[in-house]
Amino acid sequence: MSPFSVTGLLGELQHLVLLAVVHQEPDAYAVSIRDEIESRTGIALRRGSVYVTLQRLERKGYVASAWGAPTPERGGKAKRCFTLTASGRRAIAAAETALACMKRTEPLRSSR
Amino acid sequence: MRAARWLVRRAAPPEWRESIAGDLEEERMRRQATGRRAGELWALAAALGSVGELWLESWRGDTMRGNFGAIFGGLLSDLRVAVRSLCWSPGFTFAALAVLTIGIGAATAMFAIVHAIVLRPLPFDEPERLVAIGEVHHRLAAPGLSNLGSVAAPNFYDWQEALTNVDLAASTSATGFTIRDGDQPEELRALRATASLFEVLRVRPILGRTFTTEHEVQGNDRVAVISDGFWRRQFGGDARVIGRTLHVDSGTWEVIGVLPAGFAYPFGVEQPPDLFVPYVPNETARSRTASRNYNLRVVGRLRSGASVAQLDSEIRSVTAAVARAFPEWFADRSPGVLSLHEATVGRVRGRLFLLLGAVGFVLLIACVNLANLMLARATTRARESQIRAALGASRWRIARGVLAESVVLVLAGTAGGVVLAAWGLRALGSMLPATLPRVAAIQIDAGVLATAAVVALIVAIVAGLGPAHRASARETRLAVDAGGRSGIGRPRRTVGAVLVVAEVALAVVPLVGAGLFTASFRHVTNVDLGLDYRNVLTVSVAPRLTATGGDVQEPGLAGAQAIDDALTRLRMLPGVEAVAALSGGVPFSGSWNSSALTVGGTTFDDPDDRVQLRSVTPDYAKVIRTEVHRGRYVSEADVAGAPAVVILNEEAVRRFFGEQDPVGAVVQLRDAPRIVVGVVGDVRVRGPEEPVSPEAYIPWAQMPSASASVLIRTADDPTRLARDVSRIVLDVAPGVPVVPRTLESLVQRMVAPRELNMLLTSLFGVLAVAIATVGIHGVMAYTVAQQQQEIGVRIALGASPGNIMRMVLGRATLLVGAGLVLGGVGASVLAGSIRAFLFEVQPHDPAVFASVGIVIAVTGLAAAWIPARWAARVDPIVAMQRS
Repeated sequence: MSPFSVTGLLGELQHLVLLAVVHQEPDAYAVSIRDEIESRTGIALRRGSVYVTLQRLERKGYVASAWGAPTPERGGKAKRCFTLTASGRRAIAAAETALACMKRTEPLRSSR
Repeated sequence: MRAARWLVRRAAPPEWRESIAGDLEEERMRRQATGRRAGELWALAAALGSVGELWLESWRGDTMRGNFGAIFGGLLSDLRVAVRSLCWSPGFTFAALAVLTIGIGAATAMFAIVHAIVLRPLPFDEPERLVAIGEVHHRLAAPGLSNLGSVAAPNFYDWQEALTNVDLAASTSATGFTIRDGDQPEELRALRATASLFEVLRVRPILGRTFTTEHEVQGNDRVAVISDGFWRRQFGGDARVIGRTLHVDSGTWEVIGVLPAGFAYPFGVEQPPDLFVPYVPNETARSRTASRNYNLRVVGRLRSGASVAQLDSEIRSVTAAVARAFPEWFADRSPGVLSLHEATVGRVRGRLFLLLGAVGFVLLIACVNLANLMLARATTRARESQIRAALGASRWRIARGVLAESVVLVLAGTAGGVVLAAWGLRALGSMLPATLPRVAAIQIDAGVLATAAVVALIVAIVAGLGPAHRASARETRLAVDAGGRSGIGRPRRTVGAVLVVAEVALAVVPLVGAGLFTASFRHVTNVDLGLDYRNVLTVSVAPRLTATGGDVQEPGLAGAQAIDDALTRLRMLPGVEAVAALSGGVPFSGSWNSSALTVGGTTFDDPDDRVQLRSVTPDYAKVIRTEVHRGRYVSEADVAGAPAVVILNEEAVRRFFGEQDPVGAVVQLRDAPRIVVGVVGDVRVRGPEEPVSPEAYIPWAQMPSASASVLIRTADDPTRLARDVSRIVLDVAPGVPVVPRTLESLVQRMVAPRELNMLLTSLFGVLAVAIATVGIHGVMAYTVAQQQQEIGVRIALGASPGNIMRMVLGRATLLVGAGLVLGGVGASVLAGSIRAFLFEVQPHDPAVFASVGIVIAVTGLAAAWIPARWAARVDPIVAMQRS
């Protein structure tokens, strides 16, 4: 069974954020994720979108969050750090396979 | 940064709060380090951006998770719980439902009336292109006034030929028409119209065809298009009606078409026409001879692209050219154009909007009251909310419970309100004057229902939001420890007090309106009309519709023998005290003949000075009970060959003779010189609100007329005699249409609009006060219940029941007093706007304001009396044990 059938497809935004989490692990949090995406793609996401996307990904079980240590430059506030889960990893793989299949130029002969 | 922090703290979901605050702080430091602006505004915008989307997300959360069943399941269970909990508190539910049903019912009924009469477009194709054209008398012309007068035939034909912006049609006012197909002659209303009427209004017959210009020729004009109502009544809806003939004693008319059921024209007439026949004026009517007869109602359809303003300027220039050739035709009047909609509803719109405004106040009070009731309930259920919150229910979850109750209440209340409105409209239907345009079209249709639904939604939100907010507020959660004792603190009582003050203030306004309209009505009905209109039956004999389309020259009642016969036989009916014949217009019927009067070489031809001319038989003074002040009245000796005489009223004497004694003077009236032989008292023949006109009475025998009325004074209810009277008149003048009416009904018709204003505003005022009373009672009872311990302590410390009652009533007095002051100020501001609808009463009439104050104060204190008694009877021991 495809992992999408239960939790739905990855949106473009979710895909970007998931990949950013992969790069930043284990210290991925909203600010660093936004920076990562902006520095790599030039796309400056809205802050709110990042929070909402993370919340959705967490609900789907693709990421898990944990509190980091409070730091002085954050006014003594803790970070909420995100890590990829196993199903998150599968979701990325499945999404990329699906995209690759769609991009293939020769038509698929029905083999099933 | 403070505001941003506050926002995050208040509004971000708890699991995000700290990290978002930290993220913001970190970003701010970074920006500052790179020298970019990171001030208060930046922080606030950033915080709003972060929190805002999370908010939206939580809002659509359920939907995004894609489980509609869960949402609606949740909603349904909310509603189910709401219904169940409402059933547990029948007192609250009954009060809330009663208030809502009354408020929404009254508003829906009134809106249905306004919708049908004013708001809905006229029932024609492209109704916005229809215009009404009339001649406006200069004395009646006022800006914004929509009284277009009738049009003289020559003007109509000139306009029809010259105007390029419009297609015109004309019709006369409906005339009586008697058909004799069975034994009983049936009285019908026939409208003579130009063939273009059907094209202008774009009405297609459902059967047959309409008449055309070919029929507008004498001899070719005996065709009739009948109304749907008449077709069903007379012919049972038989499709073979086309080609059948209608037998009238003056000839036969062929039915050529049947109009569709919805067709209604003209508007605002007591009896819609049964048949339409071609209007064929004779040559004299078309030419500009000396006599000017204004008898046509003109309607037009603008050609595409033309506007009312263009037509207005065109008709003015066309008319100016005519006026140069025939100045006397336009000496005292000019043409006027209005959209047909405006001409139809313009004169009633203000009054109806006023009533809609009054009902708006009732609805507002109902809203405030519901909010108040719900608030009291939310507070008493604070513990339930606390427990639910403690068990993990979110604020939204708890608020939803309260909103669901308000939705259930409003749904039930709206259903009840619509039923009440339907019932009320049926009861009201007979009360509405038939002259109100489109009154038959009043119904509760989809538009009205949709409006009621929108109103209900607003009520549910307005009334439910405050309580929902309060139920879920943090303070109630903090009150858990207080044992429910102080869960209801000052804030709640203050809000309740404010709402009571608002209700009282809102009730003052419609009640003041009711008072002012009642005073106006009383003044109108107390006007001395100069005659005794009770127990008088009038039977009007209208001129017959003849084959030539013109008015009859046949004698009708005009023959001396006919009138004598009729009067003698009528006098012999049981209970008849006096009988007279009259021509020239029954008082209050709205029609009269007028003539210029010449005395001592001066002719008074100003429209204001023209005298109303009536020819009467000698007993007329006895029938209407007017007094002869000087000289004598018409007598049996004033026959056709005898010296021509006239009797004037006091007003005519005042105007034309001043201090001189008119008896014996000679005046010239229309036909011939006449000797003034007497003076009678003034009769306000045009109605109580119109000025007295100069009048002249001429002996019937010296000026008989085919168009006449018989007046009969009876000892008791004159309608008993209506059948006998009609039979006698028909015997004497066969085939003429007779219309029996009481003089009293004519007077009533004149004051009907005022009566309606009075009745409806009084009804709304009473409803407003009733709802406000429920509100006062509720809040006081609630306060007493909450203060039970305090009262118990007071009594234990020696307060007498009298002290306690004074305490409660004192508080009620304060609230009602504050409401009265506020409402009084509001009402006096609004009263100015209804000045135009009042009659001999000032908008700030102190008596009206004072009585409203007394009524509200008394009912308000009476409402507080019962809770005050409860308070006085509190048993201190029981009250203390509760804690």
